[in-house]
Amino acid sequence: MLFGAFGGIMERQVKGEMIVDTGHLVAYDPQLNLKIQMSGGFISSITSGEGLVTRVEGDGRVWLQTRNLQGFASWINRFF
Amino acid sequence: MDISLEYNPGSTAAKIRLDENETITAEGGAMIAMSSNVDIYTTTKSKKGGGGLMSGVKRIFAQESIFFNHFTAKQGSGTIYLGTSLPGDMEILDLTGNKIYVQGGSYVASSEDVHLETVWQGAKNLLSGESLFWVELSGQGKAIINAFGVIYSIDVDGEYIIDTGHIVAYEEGLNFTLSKAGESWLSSILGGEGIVCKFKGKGRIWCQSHSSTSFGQQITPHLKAIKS
Repeated sequence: MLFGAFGGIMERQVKGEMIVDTGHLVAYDPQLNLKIQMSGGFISSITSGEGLVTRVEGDGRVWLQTRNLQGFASWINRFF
Repeated sequence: MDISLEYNPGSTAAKIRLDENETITAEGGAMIAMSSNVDIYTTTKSKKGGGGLMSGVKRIFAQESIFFNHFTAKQGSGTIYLGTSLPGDMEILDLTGNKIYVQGGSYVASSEDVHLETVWQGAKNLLSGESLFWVELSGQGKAIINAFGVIYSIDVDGEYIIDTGHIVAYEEGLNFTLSKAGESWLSSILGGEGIVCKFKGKGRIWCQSHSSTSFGQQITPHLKAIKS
C-alpha cells in the first residue's frame, strides 16, 4: 500500500504509550488503541495551541507527518 | 538535553531528548509527538524571560504565538518532536553568553537557561520585509530556529548585502541598514531587487533560501474563497 503525507513521514515504534498531535497522525497499526484527550489542563489545552492530542497505547507502529495542513493553511490566511 | 534534526532540509523536525526534570520551552502548537511522561505547562513568558501578558501581546507583532509551552520530562527521560507550519529547514543555535536576534516567526524552541525577549528594531523594518519585532536570545544553552526553504549561514567581517525577506537570524556585533540594491534608485527598482539589507560588523548571519512573504503574496491571488 502507498500513502502520502504533508512533510516527511516518520515511522515510530510505540511500546506502551505515546502522545501524538492529532494533526500529525497519518497511519497506525490496527492493534494500537487511540484515545483523544486534552493536551494538558482545561485552560492550558486551549491556550497552548496543542488543543486535543491523541494518546496511542499498545505495541505497534505509528506514522507521523512532520508538517500539518491546518498550520500551513492558517499561515497562508494571513495574506488572504 | 540532546537535540537532533530529522527530515532536513525540506520538512525538518527537531527531536529533543530530555533527561528527567529537564525542560524545553517551545512556541505554541509546535509539538508533533512526545513520550507520555512529558508534561506540558503553558505560560505567557519564557522560563527565564521577563514580562507577563504584555510580552505575550508583543510577540503577536513578532508573528509568534502569545503562549509558550514548557515541556518537562517526569519520572525518567523523555523524547519530544517539534515541527513548524512552513515547509523548510531548522537550525540549532548555541548560546554562550552572546546575543542572537531572530526574525519574528522563526523562533521554535529554547533550553531553560536561554533568555527570550521581543525587541523593536526600528521603523526600518516596515520596508525591510522582515517583521517589526525581533526575538532577542541571550544566556546559555541551545535554541532552535526555523526557516522557509534551506538555512545557510555566512560569517561576515566587514560588509555584506542580503535581500529583504531572507534574513532568519544574526549575531550581536552586526547591524543592518536599508540600502538600494544598485547604483541608483532607478536601477534598484527596475532590477527587481528594490531595497536590500546592508550588514556591517563581525558575526554570523543565517539566511533562508526562500522568502515566505513573497511566497504568501504570490499564492494568494490563486486562492478562491469558499462559497457559503
